[in-house]
This record gives sequence, structure tokens and C-alpha cells, in this order.
Amino acid sequence: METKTDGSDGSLVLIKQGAEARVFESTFVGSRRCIIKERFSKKYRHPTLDSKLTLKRLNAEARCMTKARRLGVLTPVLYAVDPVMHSLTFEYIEGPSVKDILLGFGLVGVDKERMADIATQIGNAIGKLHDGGLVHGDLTTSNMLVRSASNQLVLIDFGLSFTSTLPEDKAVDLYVLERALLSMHSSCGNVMDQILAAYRKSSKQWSSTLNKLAEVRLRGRKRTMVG
Amino acid sequence: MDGVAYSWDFQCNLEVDLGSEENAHIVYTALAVDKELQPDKVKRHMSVSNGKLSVNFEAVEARFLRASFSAFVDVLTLATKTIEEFGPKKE
Amino acid sequence: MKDKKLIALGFEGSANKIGVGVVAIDGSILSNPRHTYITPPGQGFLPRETAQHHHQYILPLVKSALDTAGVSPDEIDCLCYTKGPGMGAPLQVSAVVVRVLSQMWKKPIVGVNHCVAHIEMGRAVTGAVDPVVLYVSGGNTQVIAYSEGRYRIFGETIDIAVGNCLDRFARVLTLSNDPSPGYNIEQLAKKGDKFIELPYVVKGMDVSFSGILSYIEATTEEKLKSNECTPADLCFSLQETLFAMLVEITERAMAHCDKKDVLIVGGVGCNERLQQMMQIMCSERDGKLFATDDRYCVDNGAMIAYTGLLEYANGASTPMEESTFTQRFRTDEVLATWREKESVIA
Repeated sequence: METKTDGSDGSLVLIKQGAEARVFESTFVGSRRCIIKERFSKKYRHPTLDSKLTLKRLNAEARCMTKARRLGVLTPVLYAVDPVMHSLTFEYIEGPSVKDILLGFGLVGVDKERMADIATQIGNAIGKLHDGGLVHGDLTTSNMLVRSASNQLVLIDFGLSFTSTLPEDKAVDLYVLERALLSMHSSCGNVMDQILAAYRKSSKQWSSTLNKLAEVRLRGRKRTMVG
Repeated sequence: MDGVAYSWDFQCNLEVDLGSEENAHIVYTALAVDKELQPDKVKRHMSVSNGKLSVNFEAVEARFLRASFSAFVDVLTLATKTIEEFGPKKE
Repeated sequence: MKDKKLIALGFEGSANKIGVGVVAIDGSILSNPRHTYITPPGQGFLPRETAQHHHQYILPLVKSALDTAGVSPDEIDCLCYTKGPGMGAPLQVSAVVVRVLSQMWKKPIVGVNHCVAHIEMGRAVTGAVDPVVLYVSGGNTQVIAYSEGRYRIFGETIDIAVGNCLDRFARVLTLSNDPSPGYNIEQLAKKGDKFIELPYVVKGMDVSFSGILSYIEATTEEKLKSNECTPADLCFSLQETLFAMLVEITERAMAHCDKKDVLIVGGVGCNERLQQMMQIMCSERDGKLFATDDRYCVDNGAMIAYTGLLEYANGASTPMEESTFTQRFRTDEVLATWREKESVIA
């Protein structure tokens, strides 16, 4: 399965074994560096549930990644979909994940200017997605890359994405991100506030979404144990 | 003329003899930690003298008085039973 | 400090179980009796009645815990109780007894977070060092990992707890609550084999169960009447769906924070099918699953005693006037000072 070549001859190099997919680096039609993401079946799940989820997420990812681009949010360009192998082939993005950048800030101190730039780009991107009726569904810092050449934010991993215009769905999308930042990057200061400030400017419907977000947060804290 | 919409019309007093000043203090201290949940509706005042715990409740409606009093008696009973069970045996 | 090991008496009564345990600092459990408030089929437990149950049992449990452990009050170093989260009136029962005992026995009090106690007991019993923790019970569903001085919540339910979802479905089928509704669902599920599709809601590392519950509540009667499936099939399908969601978010958290092992704690953690599914996931990632049986999964006094003792050994105690209880008490509010010391030694 694993090969030691660099992938330039069209072979596959495993670069990440994720929870639901193996991610390979390879080349597409000759010379273009690409990523192949192959979803595999999860043995712990009931087979019916497993095949349903695998196919649903493959389709969601292909569709929503493309839709996000149309909405003006940078995502890797999709080259090919293989419903039999459950794999997607898309553009290789050269650059670190936001997770690694923020973890770096945690170690050596926060580069305030860079932090502000990244937070603003995140807020803008989510605002555009949401106004276009797209909910990412898995907004963590692992799923955001910063292209080295341009410093532009690129969103990836649309397997849990879906279309919705409900403020509730958008609010939960933001809530997931807020909690991911809190649990992983508490030493970076209040990144979420900066992201939400940009989101307000970017999304026309910010007010209903942020009102709902306040409700969702409260729900998380107010849950009782009464059976 | 106190400018408050409610008045504290509903009151009741409770006096319990706990046998000793020490026991009364133990119960007082244990029960003073938990404040009334709706201080704008029920006030509870406690004091200790001569081995007795005196409690005064004031409420704006009878139902609040009833609920607070009843809950208080439950924990008071628990505290006194704990003393009886695990405290120094009376000579 | 003398040669003698530190010993704590711990009280747990945040939900429908009241337990008192005696534990030493090395994690040895000297006694751990408890009593469960069991309601009739179709009914959940309410705060007032649950508190009355605890009133009735707490003092005999203290006596039995001390007798079994062979420990006298003089030998105890601190009194630990569950500060929260949980139901108010039941929590108050332990708090009041501890405040009285503290004054009579002249022992310090340590207020303990219920969720952190589940984690520490689980670590002590299984030997898991730095796992991702899935905490699943009637009131909680959280994926937790230690990072920077605290147990941080990476994923959780955004509405009801998984145990609550199972309990409420048991009520729909009017299954017995003895020994617990979840246990009876688990037994019935073993007889089911037809998989009925249910909503599956994962959002990042969070899950939602309320949609599944309302769907299954609304359709059960019809599905059973039309012979589309049996109650056993529904229990089976519900477990398969809920647990797949839990294993999925646990795996996401593992990938996200680069940890290899999983520890399952909380009442639902006794479920063998959940353990089996988690085991499959872990072995695929070359990790280990750590799980405990119902003695420690289910709420108990020893877990409170042990965790309180860890805090006490690190110099913490709760002054009388602060020995309150609270229905809401987030896992990440607690500074896990003892963990920092562990990592220094390691």
C-alpha cells in the first residue's frame, strides 16, 4: 500500500490516515500535483449505515466543495470523483493548516498581525458560505489551510457539509468552530471574537445567526440532568 | 413607602431545640451555606440561642412560603439525623 | 506527613444514585456501597422524589462504607462531595451531610466536579495515562482530553445526553427501569437484527440526539403495529446509530489532538456493544480501549473520594461557606493541578 516514491510518476504516497479517509499525494494527468482522498468503510458501523454514510459524504464533499468555490470561497479545485472507490481527486494546496499555525503561536507567541489576517479571512469565508446557503459542518482549524504563495485561506473537508438557510444550522456551524478554538487554542487569545467581527461585515444575515448562536451557547451550558 | 411591588405578607417561624449550643451551631452553619433560590420572593433569617435554632421565613406569596419551608424542613431533618447518628453520644 | 496513606470519604448523589466510598490516595478502594432510586416503567426520576430517596439511604450508607472499610472517622483525612453538575435537590443531600460531619469530625471538605471524578476514577482503575475520554451517561455526553492544565471538552451533545435518549426510548417501550433502562435496551437489542434507518447527526466533533429521539418516538407505534419491525429491532437500530455517532466523534477528537487511547466512563459506558464498537475503532488506529464495568462506570462515592483526595493532596480544600452545590459545572472549569505534577514526574 505505502510506497516510497515522491508521487511524481503518478504513484500514490500516503500522507494522512484520517478518521474516515486515507489521503494520498499523487499527480493528475501527467504533471499536476494532486490529492486523492479515499473514504474507507468503518468496521465498527452497521454495514447499511456505513455504506449510506460513506456515499452521502462523498457526494456532499464533491458538491459542496464546488459550490463553495462558486460562492467565492477558496477550496481545492475538484478534478475527479470515483463513486466506486469512494475517492475524490483534487488540487494539492501548498501550505500549513491553521491548526499548525496557531499551535506555533502557542509556542513562540502570537504574531498579532498574522492572527488578525487569518481570523478576518476565516470570518469572511464563513460569511460567504452561509449567505450562499452552505453550512460547512466541520469547522475546525485542521480543516483550514493557508496557501503559502498567497497567504490565502483555503477551506477543505466538506464531507459533513449541507445546504441550509436556517439560522440554527449556521449558528451551530459557528459554535463548533468556537469550541474547537477554545479546546485547542486557548493560548492564542480570543480568536473567535475577531472571526465574528469579520463575519458580521461579511454576512448580510449576521444578526439572526449571531442571535441564534447566543441561544445555542446557552443550551450547551443549561442542559439539566433531569431524566 | 418602600417602592417595592411586592410586600412580605406571608411569614412563619420555626424553632427547633437541638439539645446543645454546639449542635445548634453545627446545624446553623451547615444550613446557612445554601441561600434561598429566589431571594426576591422568599427571605430566610436564622439565629441560634440557648441551643435552639430559630428560623423566620417571609414570602410574597403563600406558595413560595410553603415550598421554601418544606424544602428547609427536609434538610434540617437530615442535618439533625446526621448529628444523632454520628455525633458524640449524649451522656 | 506520617507513614499513613491519605484516606477520603466521598459522597455522590447528583442523579438517581446515592453512593458513599472510602478510598486511599494510591487508588485502592476500601468500600463503595450505593443505592439506586428505581422508578416504575415509563417514568423518569424527578428531583424531589430522588432527594427523598437519598435522604433515606445516605446515613446507613455512610455507616456501611466505614464498617466495610474498617476505618473510623478519626482516620479520615477529608470529606469529599459532588459539587455538580446534577440535579439540585439530590446534590444538596450530600452537601448537607458533609457540612455537618465536617464540623463534628473536624475534617476539611473538598467539593468535586462529577465529570472530572468519572475521568480520574477511570484512569486509576484502568491505568490509562493520557486518553481521549468519552463520558456518556444520563446527563452527559462529552469527548474530553487533557490539555494545558484542564480537561477540555472537544466534542459534546448540543442537545440531550445519550443516556437520556436511551432512557426516554425505554419509556416509549415501557421497559423496566431495573437495574437501569439502558441495560434493558442493551439486552433487548441483542435479539434484534433488522436495521431501521434513523437520523444520524454529527456536526464536527459534536452530536445531536433530539432529532433521533423525536423521530423514534413519533414512529415507534406505527412501525410496531404494521409489523415493520420488533421492539428488539428498534433497540438494536437505536444503539447502532447512537453508538456509531459516539465512536465517530471520539475518533475525530483522537485525530484532532493526536492521542492513541480511549477511556470510556459514565453509566452508558458499561454497554458492551458500545465498548465493542470503540474497540474496533481503536485497534484500527493501533490504540487501546480502556473501559470499566458497572462498579465504576456508574456513579459512585469512591470516584468522588479519589478525585477529592487528589485535589486535597495538592493543597486544595473547600471552605465551609463555599461548600455549595451547582446544577451547572463545566468539566473545563476545574484546574487539574494534579495532572500537571504527573507530567513533570513523567
